[in-house]
Amino acid sequence: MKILEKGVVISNFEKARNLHFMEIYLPKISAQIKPGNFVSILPPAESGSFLRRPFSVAGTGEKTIKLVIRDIGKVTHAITSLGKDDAIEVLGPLGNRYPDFEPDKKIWFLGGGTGIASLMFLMVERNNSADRILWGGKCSCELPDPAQLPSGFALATDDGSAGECGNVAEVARRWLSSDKPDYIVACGPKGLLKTVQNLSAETGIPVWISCEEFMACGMGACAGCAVPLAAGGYARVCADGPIFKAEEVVL
Amino acid sequence: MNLSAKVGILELSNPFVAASGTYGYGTEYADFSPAKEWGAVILKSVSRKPRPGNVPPRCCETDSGMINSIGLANVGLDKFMAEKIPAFAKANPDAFCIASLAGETLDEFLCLAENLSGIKTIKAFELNISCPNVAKGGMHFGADACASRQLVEEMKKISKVPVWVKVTPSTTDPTGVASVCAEAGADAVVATNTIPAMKIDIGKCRPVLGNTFGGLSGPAIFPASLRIAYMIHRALPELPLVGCGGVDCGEKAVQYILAGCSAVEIGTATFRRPDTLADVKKFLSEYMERMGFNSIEDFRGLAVRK
Repeated sequence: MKILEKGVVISNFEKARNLHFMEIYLPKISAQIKPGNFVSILPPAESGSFLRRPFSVAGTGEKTIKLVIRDIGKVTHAITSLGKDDAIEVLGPLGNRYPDFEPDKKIWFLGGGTGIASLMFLMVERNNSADRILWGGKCSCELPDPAQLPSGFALATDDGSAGECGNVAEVARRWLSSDKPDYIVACGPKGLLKTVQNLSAETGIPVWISCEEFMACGMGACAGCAVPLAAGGYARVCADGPIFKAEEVVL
Repeated sequence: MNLSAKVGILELSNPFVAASGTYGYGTEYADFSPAKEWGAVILKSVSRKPRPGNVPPRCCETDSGMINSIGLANVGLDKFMAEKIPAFAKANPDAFCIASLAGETLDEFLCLAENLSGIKTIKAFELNISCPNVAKGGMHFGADACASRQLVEEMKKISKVPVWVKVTPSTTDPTGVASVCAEAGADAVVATNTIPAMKIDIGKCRPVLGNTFGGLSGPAIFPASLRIAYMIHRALPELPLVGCGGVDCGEKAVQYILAGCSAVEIGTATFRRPDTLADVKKFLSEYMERMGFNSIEDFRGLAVRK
């Protein structure tokens, strides 16, 4: 069941430049949300924006949900400007969820930017020490201090200023020389998803991706967030997705 | 408070109608505004063959609204009849359902009506002759008085249920189009649809929408749509009229009723607030009580007569 819930900001930390980790008290949504689901936030009045904005969920706490939001525009600025005890209206859970991966299988999580959110949620839920998670950005300034992240996190930057040098797919390729996952799960900018899609085609490793698209309703009603399907036609990212097998969609 | 509304011969439990294209196939909003809570719900426009829809991006935000270019994406008549209508009927046995028809040709409209006319769940048709987003989205009917007349006349011969005609705001003579529809036997006119619009991405130096142009909806279009509804009612006071465009609160819905509308469609506002329906119903009740109106008919069209 989808819920419209008035939440309260519990915490908001800027962990890298313009990159906010927020935790919001939302007991009803928190009880139902699963890795892969997203929520849709009513823009705070001062943003002047009309439509809700979708955000992947990065985890849950005690009656809370966690979000990773980059301040890149008027709506994200208004949301990331909220402080402790500020009110926020959230709609969710929306979209599909990651499949129930076998607990003993090894998964690599490859994320770019705020795309890391749903991967963190799934990794923490699985709690399998053989899983690996890689978070990519252009430079160290885009990513949090590794000391602030859960153990097992690896970073990759285009300029090598933090973690391994190279984009996420390049680093994953290097990892493949000594290790191999059963599955890959990826989320991030389209460029990243395309390279991971190629990686899947080359290696035969099954890949799931979480897609992003501008949305109007977020409920499967308007067909505004269409993503082309390899088999022809379109799927709705908000209702048929956001999680797809990599080979199903055309990026 | 008695919120019941009468659109021609149709009696609705309240004047609020879910606008086509924003309410999916009638089950998506079950958690917030189930079909039975609306006076009527209009399902996504159906065409004879399935339509994949336009190239993405299909929508973007604007000041006080949005632009969409969905392109009449729909499952097509066969699947609509075999899956969507039965699913709707099962989930919403008591709801008042209207089918929105989209055709490129007169024959296509007639084929849709022939197939859907006998289905008990469908209580009326809304002819979409005003979609701005496909080359032959029916706008050529809406913009052409002769074609509109022929379409409505032929539809009325076939249809066993009332026929509403959703007219375009993109005309210098909305009253003329409405008048032609009325003469041809339309049971109601819906005023209006989205307004053709566009947005340009100044970073990418190109239009935002894959289809370049789309239709503007949301509060931004309310005053323009209201004017058209008002003009139509002033010219054709006997013609049942449904207001559509920009309603996101009860105050705007009341304005449509004061302009002469018997019912009011709500669409884009639901994207922002899925619980809009409950808010507008509450506002309408309180407004009527405050003003001493006992029914919609007590104040419908009052602003045109004053």
